[in-house]
Amino acid sequence: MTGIEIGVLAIVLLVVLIFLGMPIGIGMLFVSFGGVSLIRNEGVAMRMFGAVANDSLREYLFAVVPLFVLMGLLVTVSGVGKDTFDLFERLLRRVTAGLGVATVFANAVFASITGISIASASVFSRVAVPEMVRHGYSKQFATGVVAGSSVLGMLIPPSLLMIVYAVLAEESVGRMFLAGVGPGILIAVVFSLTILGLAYWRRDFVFERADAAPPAENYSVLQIIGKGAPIVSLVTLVLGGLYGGFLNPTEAGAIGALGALVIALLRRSLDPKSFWSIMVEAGQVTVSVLFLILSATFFSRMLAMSGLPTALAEVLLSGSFGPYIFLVAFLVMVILLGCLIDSISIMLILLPIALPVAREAGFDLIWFGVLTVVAVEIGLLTPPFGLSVYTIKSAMDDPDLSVGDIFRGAFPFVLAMIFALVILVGFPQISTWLARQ
Amino acid sequence: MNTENQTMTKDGAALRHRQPLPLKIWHRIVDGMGALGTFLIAVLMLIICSDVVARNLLGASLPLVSELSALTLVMIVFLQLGTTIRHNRLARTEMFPDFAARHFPWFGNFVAMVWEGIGALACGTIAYSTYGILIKDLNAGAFIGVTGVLTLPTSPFRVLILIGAAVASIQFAIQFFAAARQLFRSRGDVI
Repeated sequence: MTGIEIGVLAIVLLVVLIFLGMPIGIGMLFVSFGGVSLIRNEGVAMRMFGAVANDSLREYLFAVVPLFVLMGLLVTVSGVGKDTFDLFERLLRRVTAGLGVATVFANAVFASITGISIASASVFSRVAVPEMVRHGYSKQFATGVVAGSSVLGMLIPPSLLMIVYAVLAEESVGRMFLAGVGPGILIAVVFSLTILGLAYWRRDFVFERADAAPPAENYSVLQIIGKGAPIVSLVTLVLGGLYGGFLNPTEAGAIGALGALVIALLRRSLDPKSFWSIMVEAGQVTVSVLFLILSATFFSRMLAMSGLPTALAEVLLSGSFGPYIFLVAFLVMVILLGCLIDSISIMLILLPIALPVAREAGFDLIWFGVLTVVAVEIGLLTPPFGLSVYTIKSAMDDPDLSVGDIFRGAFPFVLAMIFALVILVGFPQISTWLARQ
Repeated sequence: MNTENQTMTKDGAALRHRQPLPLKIWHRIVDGMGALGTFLIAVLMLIICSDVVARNLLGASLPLVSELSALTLVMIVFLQLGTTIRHNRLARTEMFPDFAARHFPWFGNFVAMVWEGIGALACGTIAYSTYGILIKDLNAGAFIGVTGVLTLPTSPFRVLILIGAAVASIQFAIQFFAAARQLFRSRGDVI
């Protein structure tokens, strides 16, 4: 067998193993060990295995993972998300389907203090959905909006997926963060237009009954400050520090986590027990993500050794294919895989093959990263593995609401995201203008 | 998903009553190491925050912060690996296992058992290869940091990775045997 054949076989085997429920990290270690053993021998495989396990995680940058996860979990319990939503609700109460739009923008703001879509999904399914249902919106639409706008969490910095991409592509995390801002705003606007369009043309999809509930109460200036100050100060601290050059991403994570902790303590939303369970949760998410990165390092080294990425680049970029056919094929594949496996794993499996091709094609890797993240996020909303949708289902705990209802509610937003993806492909500047300055 | 987790913990709780003492002690160790790793996240946060404060207020970075943070992170991962495996929190897809559990449970359990076994082998290999690196480091007296300013030997960290990987491997092995026993028993029921 040639190295290239071994590489192809390893990828196919890995997808099969993952589908059969093998832990993804273990699967990557397993096929990589086998691959290197076949390409060279067991001795080399063993040495590479040891080197990867010992040194691939010893990066200052990776400390960003537990810190931003911790920060996300802390703001989730501290009620900051609800306050943000309240303010937007008040602001948009005269707009048709204003609560839907408020959810999108509250999510966009909340996204800038949390790096995980799941945090946004679980907060807003508890905060925004009951409020929308109270005002006559259908549950299907309400949960669909929450699922759709939760993807902003991964796009607007800080973002776990951007960190993972930056690591794989050897781009700066700071630049990747900046690259997410423009596309995040674009998607928020496209989502809002989708909501307004639905409210205009497909009223029965949005509303179940007429709004009988009393309008949102008026807030005094003091109340507005009380509700707005925590999130504004956290956003300023984290993003301001990051973009002002006072903090590197890891430090922004540490300061943000500490700030979120202070806010949670000031609001008395933490007791020792809940604090400990948040820490444990942060730890397990961290291990799960970093173990994936560890095994993906081995996997991508094995692939590089097999020569598959270089060979693929030659075939795809010469003659009949051309770079844009490759780009479209890649994005379609990401979206399809998104129906099967989770976001980070898709990136860890596909990027070691796709990045060398993209580099060879002369693509701007920051732009390519934004496209990848948006395409991966579409997978969060499509059945059967739409993680955001399942999070909402379990956060809602409502037997009348089936997973299928939420998927149907989120479908218009899947279309909206595909539309936004096309715009992002056509206008790379949206992604790169901030990051390349 | 939620209900499944609940039944799983229920099963776990039911099993725990019948657990032999060595297994109980073992689980204490695994979860205790996890708790230590969890605690280190707070330490990591404080290390980095104090570096920021020192740099911006006192005008001087603290020594070794980036190396120390990196090593703390590695410790966090390997200390918690065992407990993450024990609580089934390693990322995996649930689609096929859910389907198999409903339509052909025996095969589903069999596949699950195989994955536990491969997990044990993979983590065992990490431990084994780390042992080689540890011996090399000990012989060479490897360290991190700047000579004359502040240095730390790397061997204690290697030992920690070795222990973490070994514990993870044993945890997988325990789950492998538990799955095998259940498999054998459930087949007996059918017959």
